[in-house]
Amino acid sequence: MVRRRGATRSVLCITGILAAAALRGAAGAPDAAASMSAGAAFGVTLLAVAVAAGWRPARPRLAAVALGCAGGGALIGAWLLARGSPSVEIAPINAGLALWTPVVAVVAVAEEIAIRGALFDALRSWCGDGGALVATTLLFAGLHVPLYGVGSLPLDLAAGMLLGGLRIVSGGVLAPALAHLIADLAGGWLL
Amino acid sequence: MVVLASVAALTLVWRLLPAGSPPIYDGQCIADPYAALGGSPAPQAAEKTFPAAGTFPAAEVLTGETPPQAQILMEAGTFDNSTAVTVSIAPVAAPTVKPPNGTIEGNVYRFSARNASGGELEPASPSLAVFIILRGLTSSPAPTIDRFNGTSWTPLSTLNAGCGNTFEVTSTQLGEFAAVRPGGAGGTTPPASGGGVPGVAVIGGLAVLLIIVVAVLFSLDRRRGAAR
Repeated sequence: MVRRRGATRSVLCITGILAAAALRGAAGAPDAAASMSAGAAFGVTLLAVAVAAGWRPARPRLAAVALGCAGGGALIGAWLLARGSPSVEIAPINAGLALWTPVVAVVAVAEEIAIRGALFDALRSWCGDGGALVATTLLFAGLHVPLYGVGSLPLDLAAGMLLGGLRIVSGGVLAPALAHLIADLAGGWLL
Repeated sequence: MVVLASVAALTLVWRLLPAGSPPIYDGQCIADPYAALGGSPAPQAAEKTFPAAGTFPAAEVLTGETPPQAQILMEAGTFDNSTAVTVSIAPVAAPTVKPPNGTIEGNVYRFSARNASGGELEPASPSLAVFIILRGLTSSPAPTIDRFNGTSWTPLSTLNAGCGNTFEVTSTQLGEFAAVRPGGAGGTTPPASGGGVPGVAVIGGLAVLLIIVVAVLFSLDRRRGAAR
């Protein structure tokens, strides 16, 4: 009975997340990845799906914060290692970056709450931690292909696995959300 | 275990990606409006000189917009670097010859490499093809990048490169390149407007689907709460 309910919730969550992503693509055309309004709407719809599926915030734990920061560091560190140079510059602050920062924060946190919060919980009660990890990693990577191209697939598969790992180790969504947020903000702030 | 394996995978993937790849896992891309040749602001050119060396280094040259409207990524050894090599990118007027597969979208860019005496250089071997990345005006329909050899355009196998409608090809020759929107005949394309009745219908349909999903999930959650 619990497994069947988990399966129903999983399918509904996946449908909701895919519909939110498609809505982002349609509303943000011709360049959905750069549309701030479509991004903000995407974040809000993901949060609506997560809350409807029963996700509620838990009390933050220091260990989860530390894990999240370490995960964010790993995501940025892998990029810096590949550049062959540890030196980075901070992007000049302008109105575009000031608007981009809260939007990207909403999108990153909402994705984690929907995918590794509500959906992960539903999948885990259906097919365990392993199935939940695989399914959420594939969904996370697949969601980004229309926005960033097939070239983003290996990177997002690896990043999705790391974020899913943080979800399992920490037992909650805070650690992957922090890691995701740090990595995404670095994409705009660091040159 | 999963975390360690994914960190290793991440490091490996980053090593294999072209040098110019941004640290994007997700999120929102920052994209300025497209700068068209003859418009304001004008599109930028780019040039980089590599001093004489034993081996030409792995390198990138890119224009200054966000994201760059034109980029070239080169592997180590791409050019004969026995003298200094200057790689340049410049927006140029579209040739009068039209591409066979559609209409030019955005600017035509000339990619060139010259040695110290001004001689034109090409990649040293087919295995050292360069990555040419151009920004288009839209991803739907996805444009193809074509190469102009001075007399005709040739469509190249094109991949979506992500942020800001950027697309990439590999090419064993430099020259003039442009994003070409499929269909239509001749000329350059104005920015796509999007929307329209079908767009509104799609958005409306998706919104209704989302409302239904959220409503069913709420009802399941309430039933679950009542059962506890």
